Amino acid sequence: MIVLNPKNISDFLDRYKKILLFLFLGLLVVSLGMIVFIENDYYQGVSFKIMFIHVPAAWLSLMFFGIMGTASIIGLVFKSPTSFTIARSISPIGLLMSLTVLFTGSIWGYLTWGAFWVWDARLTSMLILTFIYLGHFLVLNSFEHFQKSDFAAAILAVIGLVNLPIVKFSVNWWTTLHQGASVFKVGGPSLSGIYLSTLMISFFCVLTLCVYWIANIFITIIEKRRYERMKLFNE
Amino acid sequence: MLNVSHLSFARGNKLVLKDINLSIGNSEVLVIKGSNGIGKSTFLSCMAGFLEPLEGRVEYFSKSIDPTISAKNFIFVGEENFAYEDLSILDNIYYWLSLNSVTPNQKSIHKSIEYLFGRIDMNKKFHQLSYGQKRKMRMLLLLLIDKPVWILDDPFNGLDKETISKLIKIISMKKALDGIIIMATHMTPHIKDIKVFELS
Amino acid sequence: MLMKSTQSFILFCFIIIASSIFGLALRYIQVDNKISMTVIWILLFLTVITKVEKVYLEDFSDPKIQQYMMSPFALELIVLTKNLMIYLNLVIFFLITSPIIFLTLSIDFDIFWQINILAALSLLSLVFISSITASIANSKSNRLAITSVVTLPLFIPILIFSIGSMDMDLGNINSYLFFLAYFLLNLAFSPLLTSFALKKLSM
Repeated sequence: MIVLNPKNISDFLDRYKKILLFLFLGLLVVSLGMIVFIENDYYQGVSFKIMFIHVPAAWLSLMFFGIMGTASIIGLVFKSPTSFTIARSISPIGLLMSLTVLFTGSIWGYLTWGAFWVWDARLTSMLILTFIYLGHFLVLNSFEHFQKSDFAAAILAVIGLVNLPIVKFSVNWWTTLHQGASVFKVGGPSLSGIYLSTLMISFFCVLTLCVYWIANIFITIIEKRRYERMKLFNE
Repeated sequence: MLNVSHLSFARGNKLVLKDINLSIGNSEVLVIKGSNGIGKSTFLSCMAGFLEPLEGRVEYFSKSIDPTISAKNFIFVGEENFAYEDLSILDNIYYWLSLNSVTPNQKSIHKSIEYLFGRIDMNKKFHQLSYGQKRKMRMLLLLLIDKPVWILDDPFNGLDKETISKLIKIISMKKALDGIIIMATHMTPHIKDIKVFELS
Repeated sequence: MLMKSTQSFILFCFIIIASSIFGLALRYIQVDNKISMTVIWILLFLTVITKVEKVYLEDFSDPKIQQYMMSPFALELIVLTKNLMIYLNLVIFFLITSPIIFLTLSIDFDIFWQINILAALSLLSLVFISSITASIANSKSNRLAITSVVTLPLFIPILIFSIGSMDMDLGNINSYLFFLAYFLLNLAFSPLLTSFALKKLSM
C-alpha cells in the first residue's frame, strides 16, 4: 500500500525547495546579526554564543530521531516505501546534527569547563544517540537491495526509539547516584528575552537548512530510482 | 488447485519475474524450466509464500496464500541442505518431524531411510555423509511428512541414476494420490503428462 | 541439543584468557570490584554478540528458515525457544567459568553469587537484544559485518545498571528489578521483531 505517491511529494518538494533556501538565508542573516550584537555572557564571555548552534542541533537531532522512528513504524506497518524513503533521507542529516552537537559541545565544554569531554548524563545519552544514528546509517548502506536495507534500518530505528528513553533514564540514574544533581547545567542561567528569541531564530534557521537538505536527498533518491527503472524498461 | 495470476517480483530496481499466469490442478506435475539466474528459485519462493510479490497473487483453492495456509499444505525442499551438520541422520529426522508436529513412527522412518539409502548407520552424523547422500537426505521430508503440495527446487541435482528413478517413482505416486508437484529442474523427468512452464 | 556446546566453551575460554590478560596488565594496580565488573561485562557483551550472531547465521540461514516457515509453529515461538536455549547455554558456562575469572581479576568471592545473579539477569536482555540485531545485520544479502556496531550501543543501559548496582548495596532489590523490567520489555519486542526481520531479510 502506498500512503502517498513518492513522485508527487518529490515534485512538490522540487517546486518549493527554493523557498526553503531563501527562508534559510533570511533567517541566517537575522540570526547572525543577533548573535553578533547580543551582549556577551558575564561568566562565559564570547564562547557561550556556541549555544546558538549547539542547542538547535541538539533539539533537531532528537526531533529527527523521533520523526525517523515514526516514519519507520508507519513504513513497517503500512509497507509504505515513501515512509522508508523519508527515514532514509533524514538519517544522514540526523547523524550530522548529532555530530555537530558533540563537536560544538566539546569545544564549548573546553572553553568553559576546561575539558573536552565529561561523562555527564546529557553528553552520554547524546553520544549513544550518535552511535544509534551511525548504526542506522551503516545498515541503510549495507544491503544489496534498497528494499531490504530500508526494512532492516526501520527495525533498528524502532528498537532505538524504544531504547532511547531507557538509555536516558539509566544514564540519569547513574549520574545522580554519583554526584547528586548534574554539575554542568547546559544553557547556563535561565534564558530570557533577547537570548530566547535569538535561540528560537537560530533554531528555525538550522531547521530550514536541514529540511532543505532532507528534501534534496529525498528528491535525489526518487530521481535515481526512477532513472534506474526507466533504464531497465528500455533495455 | 494452485492459481498464479499476474505475478511480478522485483529485487532492488530489477524486475525478476514479470506477469506470470499459471494454474495447477490436483494430480498434476509442473516443471519450471529456464536458464540459470532467470528466477526459478525466486518464483518457487513466491509460490511458497516466502517472498511477497510486487504485484499479482498466488492462490490455493482460491484463497490467497499466507503463512498458515502454506505451513499446513506445502512441503518446500530448497536447493541447499537444511540439515544440522552435527546431528545424526536420525536426530535430524526427529527434529524435522517435531518441527512439523508429526509424531515419529519408527517403522516408517526406518523403511524410508532403507528405501533411499539402502543399508546405512542411522547414527552417522550428517557431516560424515557424502555429497550425494546429503542431497538424498532432503527427500526423506517428502516420504515422512504428508502435505498435499510439494515444491521442489532442483530435486535431481547431485543424485545418481538409481536415486533419480526412485524419486521419479515417489513423485508419480504422489501425483496418483491427488498431489500437486511443482519443481524447477533442467531435465525433463519421465513422468506421464507433465506440464512444462518455460521462464524467460 | 542443537546448541553447539563446544563453541560456547571456546567463547568462554576467550573470556578466561582475556580476563587473565587484563589481570596481568593491571597486576600492580589496586583493582577494585568495579573495574573487574566492567572487564567482565564488556567481555560478556562480546561473547553474547559472537554467540548469537553465530547461531543465527547457522540456524536461520536461507535453507533452514524455509523449513521453519513451513512449520505449523509460529516463527516467533521458534525464535523464543532458540533464544532461551542460547541463554541457558551462556548462563551455565558463565557459572562454570566465573571462579577462574574471579581469580584472575582478583575479585572478592564474597560477591560471587551477586555477580552471577546479575550476569544471569543481564544475559536475558543481552541475548534478546542481540537476536534482533543479529537477524537484521546478519542476512546473506548484507555486505558488511556490522552486528557489533549496531548492537553495542543498545547494551549500554545494561552496562550502566550492572556497574551502577555495584555502587549501591548489592543486596538492593531495585537494580535486579530493573533488569527484570528491561527483560520483559525486550521479551515483548524481540521475538516479534526478530522473526519479522528473519522473514523479510533472509530470503
